[in-house]
Amino acid sequence: MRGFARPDSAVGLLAGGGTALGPVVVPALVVGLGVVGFGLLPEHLLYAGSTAIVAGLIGLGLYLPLAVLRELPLNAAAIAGLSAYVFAFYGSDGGIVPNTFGVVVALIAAVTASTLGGVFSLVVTGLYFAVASLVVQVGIEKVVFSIGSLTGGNAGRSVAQPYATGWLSTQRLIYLIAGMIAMAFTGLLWYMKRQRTMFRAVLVGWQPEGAAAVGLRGWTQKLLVFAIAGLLVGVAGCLSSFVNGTPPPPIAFGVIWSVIYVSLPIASGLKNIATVWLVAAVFVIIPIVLESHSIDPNVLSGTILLTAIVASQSRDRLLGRLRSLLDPGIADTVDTAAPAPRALVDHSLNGRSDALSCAASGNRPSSDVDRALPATARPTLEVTDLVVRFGGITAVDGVSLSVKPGQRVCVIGANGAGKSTLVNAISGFAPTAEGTIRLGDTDLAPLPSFQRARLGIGRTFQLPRVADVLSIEENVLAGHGGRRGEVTARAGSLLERFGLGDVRSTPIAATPFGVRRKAELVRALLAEPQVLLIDEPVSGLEDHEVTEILGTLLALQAEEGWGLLVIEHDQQFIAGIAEEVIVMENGRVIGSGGFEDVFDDDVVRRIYLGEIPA
Amino acid sequence: MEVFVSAVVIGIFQGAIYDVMALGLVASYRISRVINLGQAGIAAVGATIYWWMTSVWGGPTVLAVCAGIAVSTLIGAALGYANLKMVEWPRGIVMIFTLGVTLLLFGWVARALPPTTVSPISPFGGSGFDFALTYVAVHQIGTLIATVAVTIAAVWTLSRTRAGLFVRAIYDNQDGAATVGVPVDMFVIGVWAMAGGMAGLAGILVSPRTLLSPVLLLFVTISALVAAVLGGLESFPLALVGGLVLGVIQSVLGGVFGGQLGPGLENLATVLLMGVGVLWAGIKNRDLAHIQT
Repeated sequence: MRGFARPDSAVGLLAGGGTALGPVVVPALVVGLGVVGFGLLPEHLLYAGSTAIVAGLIGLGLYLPLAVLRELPLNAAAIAGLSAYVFAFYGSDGGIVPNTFGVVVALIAAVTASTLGGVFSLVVTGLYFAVASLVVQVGIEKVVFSIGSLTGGNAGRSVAQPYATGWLSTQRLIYLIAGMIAMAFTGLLWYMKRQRTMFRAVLVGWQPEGAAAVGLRGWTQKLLVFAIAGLLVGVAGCLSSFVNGTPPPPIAFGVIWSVIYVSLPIASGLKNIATVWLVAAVFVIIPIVLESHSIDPNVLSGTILLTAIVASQSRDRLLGRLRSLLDPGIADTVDTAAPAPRALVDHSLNGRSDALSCAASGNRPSSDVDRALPATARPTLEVTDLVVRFGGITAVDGVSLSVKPGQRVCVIGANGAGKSTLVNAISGFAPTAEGTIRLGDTDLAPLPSFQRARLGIGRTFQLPRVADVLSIEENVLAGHGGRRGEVTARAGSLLERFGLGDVRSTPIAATPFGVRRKAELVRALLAEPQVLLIDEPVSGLEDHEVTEILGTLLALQAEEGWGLLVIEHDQQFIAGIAEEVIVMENGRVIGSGGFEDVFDDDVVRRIYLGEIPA
Repeated sequence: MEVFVSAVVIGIFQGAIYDVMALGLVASYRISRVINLGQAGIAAVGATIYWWMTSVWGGPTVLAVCAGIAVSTLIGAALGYANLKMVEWPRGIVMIFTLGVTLLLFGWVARALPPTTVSPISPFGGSGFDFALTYVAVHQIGTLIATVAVTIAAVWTLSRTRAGLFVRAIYDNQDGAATVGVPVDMFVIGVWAMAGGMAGLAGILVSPRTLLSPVLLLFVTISALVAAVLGGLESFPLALVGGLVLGVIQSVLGGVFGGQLGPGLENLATVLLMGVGVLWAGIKNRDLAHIQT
């Protein structure tokens, strides 16, 4: 596992050409710069260094909502300011106790403000969230920063700084303290990036429906990310008061600064947290170094901001050109799409089973496999008179079906028949107007999708809902529940059975469609569902992939005994898997029965196969 | 009651200022799905050119207004051209880019303006009259009329002209418009240029009432953004209504509660209303809200 950086990306190249050096070079460079700065920076630039650390910490805090949730918070400066003023308010008397109390209260304030700002993301996303966070920024600026008793007014408040003379001067000591705090939090974030909790948050941010389908409660993951971001920004706020000896004036926490701070992780490419530090150093130190040249700070900040954004967004192109200039022979490979990893192809070809040959021949698997159910009693999925309406359109109209433990039910029908809506309604992704959905004794209808998943309704989607920034294994592990060791072991076993064992660490964005499909299936199966709903599991796949998936699914179902509800068009697949076939048209069930019975029916042949009766 | 009426009157004029800026934001958003925070910088440049031509050079007011709007239009067009080069970028990042442009323009304005604060003369003159216990400046009336005129012109152009038809086609489906021969790039640049002109006009109209302050213009832009969001970010008339509603609410809350509450708290209700408004608009326009940043 390697966190959600993409070694195939430009930053991967920057960080070592996608080699094993990648994760080492940039962090080593950052730490090296920090240490060199501590040892060699002249006295008057140490303050700039400390300010860069403050900015970097804020950038690090913003990295999380940006990279994990794909949200653009524009209120970091205000939250940092809030923290700075609260810290100074309680800590201005000096002494360990007031300072500690001040830090604690300031961090609580920052985490609370960030989390409350994050609540907006539960309601609106994208640009609306960005605007909403801007309102939070303006609110704190206009309301909180206007309270003179908090900010200290024009006189300000003083914050105790260490006193030191000689080479280890006060500024050098402050730089050292700030640097150590920054390193501690960077290490913490680096560790968290590699934990399952963060994979879940990434899945919520990148594929909210995929996350709900594996039982993740989206709002807790989101608020957790915003709380951690608030903590980092809050620490930076306290540090800003400490570094300056007094909280900076409110204008230093204005909306422009919020935008500058958010551009730090954006300019870093959002892949590598160490790169955020490099960008922060450039952003803060260049203006201070050039201060004597009387360049307007806005011009300087604007120029650096625009350059950084253009560089971050065009880095792939720029690096490609650079590499082709340095080595013309490489030009051909730079623009070539990555081929499927060889191991995947080999696995697909070698992974055939007996069931595969059943499917290939159009025969149903043997009844021995059907009966080999585990002793554990599993509940039956019962859908009765289900109606789903979208406005005036009835997409599902009075459908009833049941999926017993170990049973395989296939729903077929033309496009627009209501098949996917049926699966969406069962799994909680489409509203139910009438009817009941029960899993054993539990009424699923009033439950949200993530709770249905936790109760055992596993599902996959027509287009796999996987997070591109995670590897195959990280995507699989992002689901809800299970003890760490057990889950990892089961994930390993399932990945092997679906032929993904050797490529589990591959970024899923670099894999072909069939691999993404299989990874999503593994993720659904990892939660040990009671009933698995799969929506067109083999569309867009090669024949050998179809037979491989079919074989693996049948074998697993025989071992574990979950019920299976499949939507599929592929007649060969249906023939290989279905015990019962349900035919839908215009939202209604128009027939059901065994495969042969259904496909011998004239009406079904007309609707499903488009045949004209003689 | 009198205080309330007076606050409503003031609020309408305040809302008119937001409206001019909001119209430009709506225009660039509709054509490119970008919230163009460069409007603040463009407004500052437009206002600075107007101030320099009227107060320093002593030129005719009409010429100064035209020059301020013309330069703003050119900057808007340049920004539109840059936007065309960023079509593959996430929209939120383009938004940050536009704010970088604002920083650059603020830097130019800081060099052009004197160290002391300045307030340009009104293009409509300095007279006024009493209405509903409120002194109404001709400048405020002129601002309101200019805003309504610009809105009518924008709506008419969009709905009644061939160019408007092309622009609507691009709004709806850029690729589709290109396949039927609409010169997409030209119209995108044109709409951004128009938005720049509106920002310049906003700067010229805002600064005589307050001060020529870049930071103040940034706050006006944010308020205008909220007004545009209240209108769903898609509609000129709704943005107009959104600006007026926001201006009136701010003015009424300030007028009724101003002085009774502690510093800052008088802004609390306005900020809360802005937040609720953004949430309401976001829920109402979920399809837009899912445009990832």
